[in-house]
Amino acid sequence: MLAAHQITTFLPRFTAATVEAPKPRRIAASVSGLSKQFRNTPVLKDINFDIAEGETLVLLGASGSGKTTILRIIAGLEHPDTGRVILHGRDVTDLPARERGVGVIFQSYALFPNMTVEQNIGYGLKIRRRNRKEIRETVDRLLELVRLTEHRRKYPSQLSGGQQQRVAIARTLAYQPEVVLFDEPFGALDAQTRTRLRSEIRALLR
Amino acid sequence: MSAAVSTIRHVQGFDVVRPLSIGTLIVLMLPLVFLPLASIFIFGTGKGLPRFWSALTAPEAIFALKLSIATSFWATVFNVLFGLFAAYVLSRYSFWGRNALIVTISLPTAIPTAVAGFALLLLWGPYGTLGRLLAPRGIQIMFTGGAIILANIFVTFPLAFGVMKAVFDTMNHSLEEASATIGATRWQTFWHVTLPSLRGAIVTGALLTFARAVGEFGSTILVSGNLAGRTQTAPLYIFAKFNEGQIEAANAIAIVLALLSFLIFSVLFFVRDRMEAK
Repeated sequence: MLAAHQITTFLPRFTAATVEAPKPRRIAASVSGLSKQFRNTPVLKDINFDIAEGETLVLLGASGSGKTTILRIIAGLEHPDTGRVILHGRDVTDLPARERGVGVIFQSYALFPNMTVEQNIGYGLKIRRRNRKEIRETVDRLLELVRLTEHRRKYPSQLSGGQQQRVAIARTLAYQPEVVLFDEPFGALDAQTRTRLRSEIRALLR
Repeated sequence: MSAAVSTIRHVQGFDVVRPLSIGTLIVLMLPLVFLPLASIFIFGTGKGLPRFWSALTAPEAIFALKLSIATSFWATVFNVLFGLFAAYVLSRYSFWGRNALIVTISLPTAIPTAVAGFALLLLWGPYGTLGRLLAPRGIQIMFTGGAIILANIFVTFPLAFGVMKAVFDTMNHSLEEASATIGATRWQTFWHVTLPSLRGAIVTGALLTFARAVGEFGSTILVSGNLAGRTQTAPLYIFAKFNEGQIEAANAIAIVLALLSFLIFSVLFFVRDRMEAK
């Protein structure tokens, strides 16, 4: 179980390592008094933290400690037993996932297997009924950004783990979410790819 | 040492079990499946193709085939749509009585088809629980094409549902969650993400349902009234002609039904292979 004191123990280390602008900034995401239990087993207890705009926060904890549950609650995929989730000053605790403007990169990438790389990336714009030209331009730009232009017509099963993750990132960036959540993004990758992608993701998110 | 011996025997190769197993399989299947099927074709065309053709194109035979295909088609449409809905609800939501509903939907596979037909008669027949209320309004469901569709729906109910529920149960939920976080409505997620994953199951379920419905006999004979040229399906036609001693007429339709089944299961194999290859 991840308790409040564990989070605060870890936070200063990560904020110190990842904060890029020193000036005081607006709060992008705030979590207060978050608790959750599954079948009478407490998983989260009174979790509180704020993340400023442009800031990167890393949650560390043992397997099963509740890291994913926190992300799922912020994304709207789980409802907390107690506590609130505030995104850019708006209380989204009771909003469904699709209305939160949050992007999630899942541990398994969750790419749609029946769609090509470009269809995956353009999905967020397609369901927002953007015109074809705009979708095409955004997809082209993102494919270039994640260096997958030559793989645009391939299906996810034809890509390596690192390529799949870059598609997942591009798919999330396409609809410009206000907050991006990564759930163990390097879990399934080898050490070399992991190191390369870590710096790539930092560069992309800038 | 023993491992080395077994490797040598394997490499050198005459494995007596292999031909013995294949031979036993074929010998067992010969009287059980191959010969009965072959005899339909041998007897059906034994007196020449013109006789076979005239038996096949008799108006009552054509009607029976058309009725079978039409009623099976509508039962398939209903059961695929309903099966999709039922599989979605029973796979996605946990609620009190869920297991009882799953057992009930799956029950028709275990019920004798004659019992199914009898049950439908007791409900919709002129003196049945609901039929009695409809009869004064001039609505009669039993002994019509509608009754055959109802019987087909009842008997084939679990087929499409079973295939689709298995896919729903093993589906990767993070795909639907990803779609939701991207901003898709529930309907958009279903249409763009869930449904494409079910394509193979829908085709398989539809073909299984249709194949089973086309050959349905036990329930149909009770609810249709078996009226030649009105409510007589192809299997009932075979039975009726056999009873009248018109073996050639029965045989002609039997060949068509056998070929139809062969075609359906060939498509089924092809679809399954393609889906697995993906």
